Amino acid sequence: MKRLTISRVADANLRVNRKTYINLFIGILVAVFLATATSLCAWGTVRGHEEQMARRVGWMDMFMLGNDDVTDTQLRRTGFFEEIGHVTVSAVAEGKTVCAGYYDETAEKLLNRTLKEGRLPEKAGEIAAEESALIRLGLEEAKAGDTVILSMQPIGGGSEEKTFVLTGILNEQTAYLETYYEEEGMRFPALLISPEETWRTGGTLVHRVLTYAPLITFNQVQRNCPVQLDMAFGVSREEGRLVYSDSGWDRAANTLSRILIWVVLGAALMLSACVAITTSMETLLGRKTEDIGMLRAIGATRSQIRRIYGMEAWLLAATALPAGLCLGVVFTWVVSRIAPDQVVFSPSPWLLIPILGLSALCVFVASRTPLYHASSQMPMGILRDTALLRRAGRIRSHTEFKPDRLIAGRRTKLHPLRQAGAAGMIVLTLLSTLMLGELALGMRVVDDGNAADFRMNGPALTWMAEPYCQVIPENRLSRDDLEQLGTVDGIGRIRSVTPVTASLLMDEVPEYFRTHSFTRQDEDGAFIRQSWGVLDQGSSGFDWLFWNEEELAEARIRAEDDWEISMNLTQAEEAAMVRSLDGLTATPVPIGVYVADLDAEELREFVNSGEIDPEKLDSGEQVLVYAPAVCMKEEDGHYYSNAFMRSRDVKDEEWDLVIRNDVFEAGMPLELLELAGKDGEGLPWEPEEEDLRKYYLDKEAVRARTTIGAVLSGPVQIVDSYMYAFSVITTPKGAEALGLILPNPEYVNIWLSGNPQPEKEAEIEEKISQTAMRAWMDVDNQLKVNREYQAKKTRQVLLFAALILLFFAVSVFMQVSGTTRQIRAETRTIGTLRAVGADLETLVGCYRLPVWACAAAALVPCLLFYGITEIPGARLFTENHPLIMIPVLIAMAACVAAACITGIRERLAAVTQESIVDNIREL
Amino acid sequence: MEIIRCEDLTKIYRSGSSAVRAVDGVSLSFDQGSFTAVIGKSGSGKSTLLHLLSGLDRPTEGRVVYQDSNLFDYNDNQLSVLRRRRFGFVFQAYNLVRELTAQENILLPVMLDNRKPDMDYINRLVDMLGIEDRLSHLPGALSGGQQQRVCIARALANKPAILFADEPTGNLDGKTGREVLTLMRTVSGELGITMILVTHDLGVAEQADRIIRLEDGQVAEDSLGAVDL
Repeated sequence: MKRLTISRVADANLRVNRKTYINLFIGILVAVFLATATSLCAWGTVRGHEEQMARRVGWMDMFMLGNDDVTDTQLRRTGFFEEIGHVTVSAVAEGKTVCAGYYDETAEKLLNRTLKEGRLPEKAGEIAAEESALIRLGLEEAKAGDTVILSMQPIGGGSEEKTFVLTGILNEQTAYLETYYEEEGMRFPALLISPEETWRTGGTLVHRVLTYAPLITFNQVQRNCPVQLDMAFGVSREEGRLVYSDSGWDRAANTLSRILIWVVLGAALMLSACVAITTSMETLLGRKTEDIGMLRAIGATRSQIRRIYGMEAWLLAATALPAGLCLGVVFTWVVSRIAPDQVVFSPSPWLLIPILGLSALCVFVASRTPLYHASSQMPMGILRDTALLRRAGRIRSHTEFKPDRLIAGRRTKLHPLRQAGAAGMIVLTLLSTLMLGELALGMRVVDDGNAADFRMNGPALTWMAEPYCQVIPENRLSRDDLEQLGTVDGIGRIRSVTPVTASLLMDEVPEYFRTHSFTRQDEDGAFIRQSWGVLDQGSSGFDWLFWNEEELAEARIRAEDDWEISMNLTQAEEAAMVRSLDGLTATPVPIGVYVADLDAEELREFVNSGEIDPEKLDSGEQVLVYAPAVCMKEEDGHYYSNAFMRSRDVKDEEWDLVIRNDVFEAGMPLELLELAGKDGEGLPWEPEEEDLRKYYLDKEAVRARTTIGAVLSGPVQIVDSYMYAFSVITTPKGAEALGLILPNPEYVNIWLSGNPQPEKEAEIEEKISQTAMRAWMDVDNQLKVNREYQAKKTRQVLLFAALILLFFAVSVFMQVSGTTRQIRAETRTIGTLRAVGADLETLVGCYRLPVWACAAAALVPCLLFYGITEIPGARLFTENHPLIMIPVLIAMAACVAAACITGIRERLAAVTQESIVDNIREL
Repeated sequence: MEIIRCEDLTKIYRSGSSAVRAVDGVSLSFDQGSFTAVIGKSGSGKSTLLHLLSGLDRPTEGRVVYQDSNLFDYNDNQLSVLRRRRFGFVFQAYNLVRELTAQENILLPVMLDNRKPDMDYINRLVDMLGIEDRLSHLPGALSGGQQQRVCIARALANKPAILFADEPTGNLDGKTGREVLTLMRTVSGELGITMILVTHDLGVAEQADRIIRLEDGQVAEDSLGAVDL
């Protein structure tokens, strides 16, 4: 006779209860499958995004432009960097700010240069180029295989005309790596040449591309790197752009937000699968109460019981784990085929092993509770209801009652935690409903009919101006360019905004322009100085406008210790230089001139005096003036200010300080001075008088006389920009009539004339991009952004709808299966109740109350959660927080309960089909 | 006057290929207010007969006529109403609802019928059964005898027309058993309740007006008064 071992008992069990084990097997299989599929998809999403971004900015973490103060050895010694590649720039296409150069092996790997067509250059005389570079070079039509002639200037050398064979078109990359350094060669090459290319004169400039050592972030390098890293820029591989601050946390948060959908889905499904495992185990063990009682009676210990029945779960898990893992891998492969851009199929053992571990842990946890329950029951305890009696201390006997309610109520009282699992699932159902409601209702407010369909953005950092001087970049969008764009079929309306730095020439600087400064102590006792003025909100850089000779002399002495005075002094000196050079008697007050396609209707409500006459604006005869009223008051040790009130709405008595326009009114003559110069003629950091003279002598001076057509105040918006400081506003035609020299627009908004087909939209986008590239401007396709946003929202809505369905089903399943187990265990009670005359309705009543109690219990935390998120500061999801969600939540909870009760009624109806004698027969 | 009768009552239990005729073509009639004891060996079908008569189980063949209608023509709800108003049943295994106190268990049929209980009558029952100090306890806290008495009180609480009892004294000691039986007789006599009782306790059977002996599911003997046991 074979020895009876625990594994043999388990094995025998397995053979006898095949059906239940199949359920358990499927539960474990599904849990592992879900864990594998969601983890691999999450990882694939991260990889997919990384690869997308790597097409833009490569695999580097940082780059350094032409810094030869630091050697590679020094960089390596810091321990902050792992790989260092070199990009050699040998020439610049003349006057076009397009660089030509080549990579070493590491740089080639890190920059991940990909081709649109053709191949990379292999020998001298060959070249590959980005499409935008070709456009800038006036070679829009060039294709791979063509011969191109370029006028090139080697770094530090003389101009050379070169003939190249164009071997390939590169995907765009340099635009994403553009910095504010504009000097010759200080950008990545958009033209790739062979290292063998020779030049008659000049040298080279070497940029470095670097990767961080493990666990190093941009912020750490910035703060702690012992080597001076000049001209170094961090690259965010998550966002595909340059970064100026990037901690590990930011990266983790970014990554998490990208895979959140998988994490939520995975967690929800895993939870459901675990519930299924727990339920299957409970069912399995519930049927074996007597066996377990018998085993306990003949001396099996609790741990032996757990081992016998736990072994079953593990035997099943041993087969289900690898099967689920394989299914998950296959699923991810299929997903990666369907959406190759979003999910990259890359299973690695380093990912699969933890997944297996996690799945095993889930199986363990899920089977643990039922096993613990099963092993901890005493055979006699079941018969004597000792546990129940212990809890029944405070039960009051009734002489009049509704039997079903009393029985149900007492069950809830005696077993308060019996429904806890189901209540948890209902909470998840309700929270998903809340999220869905927020998302679905939030989707409606997205559509802003006024938003532009396309937007060109100027290079943010190249517009660097001195207070008096305007830098006019060589490559800029002209009025003609925009007018030409306006003729493209499908484009409806174009509105651009171009801020111009200019000065208002004033014989006497009005008090209205004075900056008012206040100093207060904060909680820590530190002195805080805050300033209010109309020229530049919060800046105290205009005090010099009111200095007399003595104050100027005093300022020269104090400038060393006080940066504000030093700043004012610089401006005063520059103003003096401008006055002497241009023979001015008036004071030049630096202001902004906004040149924009105006809509008189939009502005009419903000007019304080005069009226807007578009014709006079276009002829330069008149301009508009934005003259804000700045108000400030002190309350409880804090300053409150408002500069967006219409002058006429400001009540002086309500404010401690009101800076109100009492100078500018319609009809008043104005004289403007604009000083404009080309790129690359910057002032030294601390200019001497001679530097200033040379600098300002170089500039072209434009003086324009006009009159004020209307004065505006309040929340004035020019296209998309809110006016915030005193400004002069005119139209592009007006600016032309006044002779102003315009820099590049800050942005150009473009509206389409209809809803174009995708091909047409792509064609329009191409045209806009080509125009934008001439001025190094980016193009945002707002239509695409909106579409993607909507698609993302739709995906989220679908996800939450799926989650609701899932949680709903699991809640009902848990409730019904839990109650079914209970019904099975209480068949005798049911038989007894039937024998003394209870009908089906009464029997259902005995189980109805706990279901409602469960739904109500689940509703409470959800409503609390809703209440907390109603507090504005704690809002988690969307801005709109509809009250309708409260009845929706209640209805949802009621639906779950109703579905559960229907299921329970079915079960009880089946029980009443049996005869009462069968119900009450002793087991 | 007849209150209930059965005609050709047959119950066959099937298990695989074999079939057991637990009750085999039994036809009996019971008079109102009578006290009948059904006796027989174990497995002779007496409990099955009682279950069929009281409508707790359905026969394979035959019918049970109560007040001119066949019980098995009723639907489940009609049978429920009948059980809570007209029938009382004392189970051998007590079958008390474990979440309800003794008192609540006793009142259960009245409450199921949505009626006001006759508390004087109930209190008298409780006094007679000697369970007045156990009323607020859950069944789990009662002894077997006490549970049996609660079960009897429950069966009588709705003043039924017929009281079916399956070994009502089986779990009681001889003295208590006799007391309980006397009590059942007294109450039944007062209210004119018909009693049909299954027992193998001859002492109990002797108290009956009529004794029916079953053998292999068939009536072997049906006699008024003393029988040859």
